[in-house]
Amino acid sequence: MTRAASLSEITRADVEDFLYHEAALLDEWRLEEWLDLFTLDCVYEIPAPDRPDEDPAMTFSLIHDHRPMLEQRVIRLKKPTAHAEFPHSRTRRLLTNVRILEHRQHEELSVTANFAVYRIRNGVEVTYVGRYEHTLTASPDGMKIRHRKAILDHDVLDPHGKISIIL
Amino acid sequence: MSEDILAATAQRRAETVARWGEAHTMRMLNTTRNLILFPNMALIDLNFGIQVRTMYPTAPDRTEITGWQLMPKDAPDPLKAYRIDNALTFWGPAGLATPDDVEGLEQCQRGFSSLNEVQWSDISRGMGAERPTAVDELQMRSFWRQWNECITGEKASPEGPRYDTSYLTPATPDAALQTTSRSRS
Repeated sequence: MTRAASLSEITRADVEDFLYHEAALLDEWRLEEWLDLFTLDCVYEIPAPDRPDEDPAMTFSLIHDHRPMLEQRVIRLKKPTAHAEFPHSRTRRLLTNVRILEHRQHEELSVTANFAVYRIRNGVEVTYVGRYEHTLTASPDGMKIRHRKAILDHDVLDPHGKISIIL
Repeated sequence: MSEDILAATAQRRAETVARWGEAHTMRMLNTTRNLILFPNMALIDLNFGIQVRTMYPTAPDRTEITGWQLMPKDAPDPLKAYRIDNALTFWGPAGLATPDDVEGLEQCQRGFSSLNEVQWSDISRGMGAERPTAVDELQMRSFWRQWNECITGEKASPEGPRYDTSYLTPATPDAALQTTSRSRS
């Protein structure tokens, strides 16, 4: 586990270990454990793909969750009434091109990675392709995600017009 | 809801009452409705915003749905942010409601492919009730009644409550305002 004191010495391999673990929790549908990887002041964001840098408070995006809404999302995804994900889909996340962009005052890491997330359900396979921008920070329990921005490369959400899983 | 949102909402309501009167304000701001403009537009007017949708079938098994969220142009930024957030988390394609609605639509479509075996789809929920509830299927039946009339020329008997809108006449805003003011004094 990575400690706060050593955040400035974190290597790309450490970040990769963390992100692969995080992706595995999502693929294994261990959503509560996944939620524990986020700080209390976290933001999970999927901007409109054509305007990824707009202020999500003042323009439409796809997801703009602060911690309370992210918790609701996890609770919702475990309920039988979440029809799109009950029974839940199979997902497989491929993460590549992981880079540490910046160490900010030894307190935060700015990290980017490319992703391909496959979702398979009812004979339909959908791929979400894009890039993560993560702000990671350290805590006594190891690294945490303070900001997760998943920027999709899609220009339409075909074929099914929705994002029912966590990206 | 934070204090500044509550204050901004209360202020807008007071302005609306001053302009339109209490009775009409109740209909504008305190009444929820799910309105179908036949054949392919819906106005879903809930307390936290107005969602406009158009539905264009482009193939027997494909429909394009476009959604807009309406809000007052001059609303203060915190109120705009609140409305955007509400709309996003509920109506958005990755919100907490719409993905499941899309799933429902797709599963219905799957069921309709068995048309040769089963020729009926049951949309009778709340049929004949004096006042429909928010989860009744009145608007679906209203749509198909109108569709049937367009296709067959046969007028189906209507269903659902009729609302007294006589206070809205005369039709111009200024006249309505005067009428409302008189009725309040």
